[in-house]
Amino acid sequence: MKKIILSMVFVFASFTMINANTSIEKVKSSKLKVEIIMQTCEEEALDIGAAADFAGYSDEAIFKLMNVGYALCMGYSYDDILM
Amino acid sequence: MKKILFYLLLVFGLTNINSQNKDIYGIVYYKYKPNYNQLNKDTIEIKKHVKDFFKKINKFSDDVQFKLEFLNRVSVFKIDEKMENDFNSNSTAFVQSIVSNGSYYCDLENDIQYRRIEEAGNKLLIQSRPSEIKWLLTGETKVINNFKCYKAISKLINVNNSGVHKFTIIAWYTPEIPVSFGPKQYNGLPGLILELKDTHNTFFANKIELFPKEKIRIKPFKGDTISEKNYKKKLRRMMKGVFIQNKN
Repeated sequence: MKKIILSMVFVFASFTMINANTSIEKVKSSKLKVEIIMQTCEEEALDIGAAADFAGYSDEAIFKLMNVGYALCMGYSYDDILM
Repeated sequence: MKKILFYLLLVFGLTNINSQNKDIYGIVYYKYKPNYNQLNKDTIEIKKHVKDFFKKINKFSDDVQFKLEFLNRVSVFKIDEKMENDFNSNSTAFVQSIVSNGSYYCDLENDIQYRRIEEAGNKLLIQSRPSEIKWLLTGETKVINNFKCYKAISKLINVNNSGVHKFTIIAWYTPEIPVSFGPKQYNGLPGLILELKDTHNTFFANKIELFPKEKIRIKPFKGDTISEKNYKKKLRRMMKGVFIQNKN
């Protein structure tokens, strides 16, 4: 009986340790994904700004277009950005 | 003789009072469409995601309209709030911010104009003078909504990171409606503007209500003021920082 309990505890502990490692990996991978998204959105916003710049938009309009482009890329709504 | 003089003065006085009570007021609704030159396709290669972005925001022109309210020599131009509903509340906020660059209050009598914007949650009034816009009146005419309209031209210059950009602003105004107002900051013509080709968008009057049942009341804008010149300087400094950071 004691052996059965001990082996169950051992299995349970091992399972928990494996899960903990996987959770850490998942957090690292999610953080990396967010960083990649942010970098991508920054580049997208700069592309929008460059196009608006060449088309002769005012600084004010370029600034707003870039903000909107970045925020939409990051998943925000227009209300979040502009209200 | 004295009696004749008295009655003449009385008639003149009454006529004067009556004419002073004849306020000119009304509402004009404008729709808009992006211009062909919205993105300068001839000089740079436009990335697909940029084209998609502008295509998406241009669709807002279907949902949104602007309202110009005027009372004698004072007017307010802004987004038409009644158009706002759950479906297009996003588009009205965006269009007010990007297409019209805010709301406008114009007082032709005192030659004062304010453009109201939201900055960091506060209302900021950017001050300018309606008389700063110089119009060249031409004899060219066309009919818009059964009104004979005349063409007027002005110039606008935008200075940004890529250099100096000159735009020709074209307004079609009708002297048949003798109010000197139009969309955004474009006022001062000898008639109401029914069509205006701005830098990147063209505005069209699609409904005019003269002397509506409910008389127009216009309140001056309130907020912190800054001149147009100083505001542009402030933005120029910010934008230079953005592009320098990008190069690094």
